[in-house]
Amino acid sequence: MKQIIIVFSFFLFSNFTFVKINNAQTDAETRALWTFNMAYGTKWQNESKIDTFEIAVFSSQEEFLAFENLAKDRTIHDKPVKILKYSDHDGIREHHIVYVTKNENAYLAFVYQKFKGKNVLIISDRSRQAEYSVINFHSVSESKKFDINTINADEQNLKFSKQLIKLGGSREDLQHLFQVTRQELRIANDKIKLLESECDKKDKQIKELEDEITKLKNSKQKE
Amino acid sequence: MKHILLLLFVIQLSNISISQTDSEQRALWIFNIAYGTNWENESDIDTFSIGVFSSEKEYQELFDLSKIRRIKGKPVTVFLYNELDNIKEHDILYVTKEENKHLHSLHNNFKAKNILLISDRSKEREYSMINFNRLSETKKFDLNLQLGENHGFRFSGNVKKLGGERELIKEIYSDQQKELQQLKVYVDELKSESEMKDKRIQDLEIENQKLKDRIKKLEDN
Repeated sequence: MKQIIIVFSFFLFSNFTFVKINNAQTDAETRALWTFNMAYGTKWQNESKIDTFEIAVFSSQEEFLAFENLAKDRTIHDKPVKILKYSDHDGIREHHIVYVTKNENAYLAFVYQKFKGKNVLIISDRSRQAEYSVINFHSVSESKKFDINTINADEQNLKFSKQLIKLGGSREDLQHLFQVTRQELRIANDKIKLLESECDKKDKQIKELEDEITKLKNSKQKE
Repeated sequence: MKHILLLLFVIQLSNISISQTDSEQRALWIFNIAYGTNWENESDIDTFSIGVFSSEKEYQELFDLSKIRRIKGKPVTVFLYNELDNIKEHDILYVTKEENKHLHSLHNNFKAKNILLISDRSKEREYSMINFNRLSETKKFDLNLQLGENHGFRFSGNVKKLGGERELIKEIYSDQQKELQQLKVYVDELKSESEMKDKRIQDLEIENQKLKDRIKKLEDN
């Protein structure tokens, strides 16, 4: 089941049309779906101890409802999801995801200060102060759907999948992935060389043994 | 040898010293970019030639470098041009900053030729394959991949990584992912092949031993 979810999630991200995203969906629904998909590519600290993922929406009612609808039949890492709504920035508590909707962009810096260094994925929507969130949505119509701020992600002790970084990471993040993968390619190629040479040696050994057996059989027949 | 050159290229690309002058750095970048560039019929090239139009200072840097460095194991000659009309065909044509206004004409003059046109801080990036940025910037140069490919060039992953836009790096990273996936599948195949061979060796050794035992028994009798 887990594998199916991973494959499904990968498929959604790799196409990034998110399949279900169609004209019939509102932008709020689309962003809710993105958030769920992003959560699949995010790793929180002590994740095994999490029973229920909590997403706080500050403060759009429309976006809150879109999340709530989705949470009814979707999970994050196979765990149920609880959606909470906040109307006042002072009241926001610590949750796995805190989503600051566009109408509250003015309070993003405040939210960031409040949860800085805590294991909270702060998501903003079209904020011009992207330095205060970990993920910042772009307009739904843009080809790059979101930006990942990897410095903030490290600060919040959040780990992202390569697939997620590929989609939302900066040019420098992609350069880093390229560098890492090149190293992995080198290791894989070295391994292949080693295995091929081992197989060649074994082929020789097999041939020698087969020859020896044929000789033994012949000598036995003679006797 | 190839690996050493590649390593040298990577080290050079990432460690161009700050103590060098901008012209020295650009000269070094040109040599390093050339390592990651493939010309058509490259094997027919005996000596790489670089035309410089028209800064004497930048020419001197490239000339000095050509005395101690090669491009892909081949010697390098550097030519200086002061007049637009005199410029001949070279493997690399470097249009220095003060001649940016002529970049468009040069692009037209050498259209469809396998000449690597390099410019410096030009605002008309569409006319050169490589355009240097200010050296204080993180991204030292922009690669115009489309133009390069249209002129028969192929660029290494490293040049693409350093000079390409985000989308290009995403693309080459996707290719790497696919390649890695294929290699992993092949590694698994080799592992199971190797295990099968182990089993075969084991079976043959048993058979071999049995035969030896039988023969010994016959001999003893």
